[in-house]
Amino acid sequence: MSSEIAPAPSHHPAPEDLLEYATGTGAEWLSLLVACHLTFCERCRREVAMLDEVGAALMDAAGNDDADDAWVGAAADDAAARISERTTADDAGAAGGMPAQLAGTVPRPLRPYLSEPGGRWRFLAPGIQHVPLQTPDDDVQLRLIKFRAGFVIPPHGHEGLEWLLILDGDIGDSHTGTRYGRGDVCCSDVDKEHSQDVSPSEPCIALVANLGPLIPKTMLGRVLAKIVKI
Amino acid sequence: MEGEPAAKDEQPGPGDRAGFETLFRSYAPRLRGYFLRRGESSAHAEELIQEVMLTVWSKAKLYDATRAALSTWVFTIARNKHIDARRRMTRPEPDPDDPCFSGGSEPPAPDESARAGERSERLRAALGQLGEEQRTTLEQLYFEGRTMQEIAHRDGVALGTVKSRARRGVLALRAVLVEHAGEDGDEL
Ligand SMILES: [Zn+2]
Repeated sequence: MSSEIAPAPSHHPAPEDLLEYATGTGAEWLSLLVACHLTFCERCRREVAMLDEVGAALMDAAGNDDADDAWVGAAADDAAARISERTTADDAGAAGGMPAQLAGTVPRPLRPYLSEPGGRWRFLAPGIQHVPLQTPDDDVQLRLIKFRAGFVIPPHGHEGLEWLLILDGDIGDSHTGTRYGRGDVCCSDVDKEHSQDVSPSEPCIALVANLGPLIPKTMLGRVLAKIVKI
Repeated sequence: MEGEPAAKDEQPGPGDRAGFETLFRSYAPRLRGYFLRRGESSAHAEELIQEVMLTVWSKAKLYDATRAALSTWVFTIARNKHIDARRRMTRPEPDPDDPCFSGGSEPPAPDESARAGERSERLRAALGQLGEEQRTTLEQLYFEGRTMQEIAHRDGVALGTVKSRARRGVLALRAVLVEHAGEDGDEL
């Protein structure tokens, strides 16, 4: 399990990903991934806050559609009348839903995407368990994956992008030669062949988004791809 | 502009109906402009404005004037309402009460906070200085809600061009904030 003071993430979403998040134009899966990263990353939260300021300034600058005064007055009255009706009802909120074993590891923005409230780990392949997530977008597979400590993902490529957001433990990538830890975003390029290895000391849990099929480069990879059916 | 927001750093609070009306009057026209540009019908825009203002009011206690200008907060609520309505989804957002939440909850630099209003003034001025292409790219993203891919298609340019226009625009705007705020402008 993660320690209290985890180091801040050092691999962030691209600036345009944050911009799409802030403007609400990004695909839902990407917004979800960004929101999870933001949970861990103060630096990107600041950046998004700045992008929100930009949005407000644009709204102010463009503003003042010539809404006639009579409407504004009536609408204000109407809204004021509704204030009393809805005081506290709003945020009773979904408190449950997060399996105890995942709370503290899985950021809250993911909660609504667990297909079943209990969302428990299921066997996917030897050394790999997963929790499928409700896929918000047609062309993307989204899941939580837990790799056993020391697991090595054999060399493979991708027809589409693959994104990992590390939630616990860490994983190394042969292509970038980097290790990714809690909160880090790792985006694998199309066609770039790579293998990945989980640190031998602890399992690695990641949010994984696949935008296309995996292209296995080895026999083991082929078997894995078949089992995983990505 | 009829009545700039009564006071930018003013704390909205429940139980003050006159205050609510003032707030409503100062924001409704801007919100209307925003929703119309995002392609909503006039009727739906009005509904959304009410939703936004009611949310602003009911969550007033969550607003922290030291953290953001009121207009920024209203903008984020408007954007979220629009996403919720348009896509029938709830926008994923980090939750400071999440056990996973790490890092500070952005206490701003001490004198940065008092100047939230001043910051938005500066931003607005900088927007006027922005190159046409950068500005329209940002407007399409923020207002029309187009994806970068859609903008590229519409403007007949490469996706990379849209990304770099957006990015350069953001950097230029960010520069006017950082320039005055002193440090804390670590490059992305
Ligand atoms: Zn970050």
